[in-house]
Amino acid sequence: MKKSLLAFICLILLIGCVPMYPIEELGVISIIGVDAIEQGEIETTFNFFKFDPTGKEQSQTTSTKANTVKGAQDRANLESNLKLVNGQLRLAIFGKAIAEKGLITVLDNFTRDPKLSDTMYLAATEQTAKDILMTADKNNSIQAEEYLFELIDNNIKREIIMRSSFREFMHEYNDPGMDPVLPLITTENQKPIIKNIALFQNDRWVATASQQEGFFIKLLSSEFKAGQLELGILKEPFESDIQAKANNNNTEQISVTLSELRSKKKISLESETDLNFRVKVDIETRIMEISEKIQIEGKEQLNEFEKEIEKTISNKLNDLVAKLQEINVDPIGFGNIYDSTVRGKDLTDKEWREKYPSINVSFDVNVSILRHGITE
Amino acid sequence: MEVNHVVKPNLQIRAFYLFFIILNIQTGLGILGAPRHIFQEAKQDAWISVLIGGVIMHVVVVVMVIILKNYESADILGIQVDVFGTWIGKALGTVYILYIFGVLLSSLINYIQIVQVFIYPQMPPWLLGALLILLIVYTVLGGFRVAVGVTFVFFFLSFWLFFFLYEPARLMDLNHFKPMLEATPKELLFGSYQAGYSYVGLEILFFIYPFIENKKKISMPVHAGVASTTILLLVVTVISVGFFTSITLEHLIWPALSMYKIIEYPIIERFDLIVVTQWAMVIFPNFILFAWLITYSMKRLYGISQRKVLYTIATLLLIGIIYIKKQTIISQFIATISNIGFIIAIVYPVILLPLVLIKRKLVKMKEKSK
Repeated sequence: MKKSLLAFICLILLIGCVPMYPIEELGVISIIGVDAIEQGEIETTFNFFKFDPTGKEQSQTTSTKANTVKGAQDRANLESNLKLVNGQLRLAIFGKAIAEKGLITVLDNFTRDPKLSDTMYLAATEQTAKDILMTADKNNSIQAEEYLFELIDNNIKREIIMRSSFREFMHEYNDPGMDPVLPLITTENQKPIIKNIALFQNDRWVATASQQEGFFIKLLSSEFKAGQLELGILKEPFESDIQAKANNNNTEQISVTLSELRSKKKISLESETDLNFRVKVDIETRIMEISEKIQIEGKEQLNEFEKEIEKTISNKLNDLVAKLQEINVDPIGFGNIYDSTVRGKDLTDKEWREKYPSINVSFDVNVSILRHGITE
Repeated sequence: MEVNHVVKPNLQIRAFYLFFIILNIQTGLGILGAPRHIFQEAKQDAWISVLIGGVIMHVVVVVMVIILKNYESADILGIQVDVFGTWIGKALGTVYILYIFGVLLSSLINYIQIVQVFIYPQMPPWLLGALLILLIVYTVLGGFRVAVGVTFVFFFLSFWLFFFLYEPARLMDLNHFKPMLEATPKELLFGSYQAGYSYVGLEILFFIYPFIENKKKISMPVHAGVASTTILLLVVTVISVGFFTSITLEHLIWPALSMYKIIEYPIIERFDLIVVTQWAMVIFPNFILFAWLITYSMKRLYGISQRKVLYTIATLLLIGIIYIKKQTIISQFIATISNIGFIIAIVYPVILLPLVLIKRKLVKMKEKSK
């Protein structure tokens, strides 16, 4: 009895030796922005909030310079009465200078820190990350930490932008046959917005792709469950069906909006020596909007539509792959397919960079329009 | 020292519990790091290595059961004395004890290190060490049946963790497994060898055989236990290989824990912290079973009271925890234990089998000639 009491007391008292983190004394970092400045130094901007039992949650932004992100965090501690902790970090924004130099030195330290979550988002910007964070902080109509996170989170969930999580970035960086992409944030009217997509070669930002190109990269690298796409198709085959002219001056094209787009893709390597890839894309969708008034009736006309859309998508995909080959960036992961089909030693990054520009890709796009609204 | 050790019926357990003992003691900490070590050798064919390892384990179980069935109610300590004579037998028994102490110390240090890395970087190691050792002493004082009971209960309290692997499983990239069968047989075998640390623990069967009430039925639960370990390890390895890229997996110390980082719920944003905490329940049975084994073996070999041994190892463990701190040294320590474990758990029974059979035959011939 005495002994178990002694053990019990020990168990209770020892717990007191664990360091405490009173929540009122913490500054919880939710967003950081990393910029490269001269002489290899890094300027890190922190957006953190404090739990205030009396008032609303208050977020603050501060920025410091140091050689490492952790070093900057230590300095930021000096500029705040709170203890800054990074367990709730949800978004890291990288400025143009550091993104072009390469992100891996920063990201490698992220992987080492078990406190950081794998699901946090990464983004790049053409301005400096400090700009973006300061703009968001100054704008009183938005709450910086929520706004920026949800800007990315919502758009990813609605499949408007592609992958951008830390895990995916590292995964693609480490895979020799695939390159990462990140959303680009810019400020417009004192408000950060997403515009375009940054294409990375390993960890270096080398080129920018438009929103629509981003859609096609996603079409080829993963699948859509309910995507949306606005597409211009040739007007000519439907000339006779147009009942009322739209008020735009576009005489060659009709704009079609496809929604609830569901896609599946299959990429296969057909010839090892000639590097011939065959891509099969199956799309099921619904026509939401057409810029001209066209009566869709009967199977034949629908088939015509499907064929036109298929042709347009194929062309766009061809252009996209040509562009990607030219800048030698492979966000689609043809290298992965090559590596997993060809036996023998593992594919290296250098080898794939040499082979990639000479691969041939043929597309086989299959679109089926399931519905076209409530009228016929 | 008596070769056969007769245990009072009120101290015995049903063979059925062997399933939980084997599964629990093998799962432990090894499974957290195993996918990485296996992958380093066998690459995308790591899953084949796990299966080969599983088959080898089943063979070892068969061998162990044949050895044990040659005696009425003996444990390895008695068998060694019977086969090699008192002196060598006792020396080998002491090697066993030292090895088990090594396993116990290495897993304690390893777990404390994981808690330090994931949850409390500032916490001194002796603190958690002292808490765990207090619990170990308290439980082992209750005796073997209590240890088995804890194993049984903790199995059900921690098994649910396994199901949460569905999330990383959903994110698997099946291309990571292709092209299949690229590893050479040598690489595959080395992969199985690397899985060794997770198979360590099977030797407990050699010690607790006298405590089994229905000795005829031991094969079934032990085989089931080994098969379950193999399946668990297989699932974890397959998901790790699919989830991580090869470069990442080769550098992660605890891939199985890192996978849980991807799980996120609105009320629990960091599921990995829960897993680290919950893992105490997965390895605690290891601690108490190994600690109990040491006290029991010391009593069998040298007749020292179990209490005294228990307090001594508690002190030694605490000292070990305080002095072994560096990650690189810990990894080396674990690798050494793993290598010794491979010899003791897998190779040794196979060598012992013919010796036991010859010895028994000699005894029988002597009896006949009389």
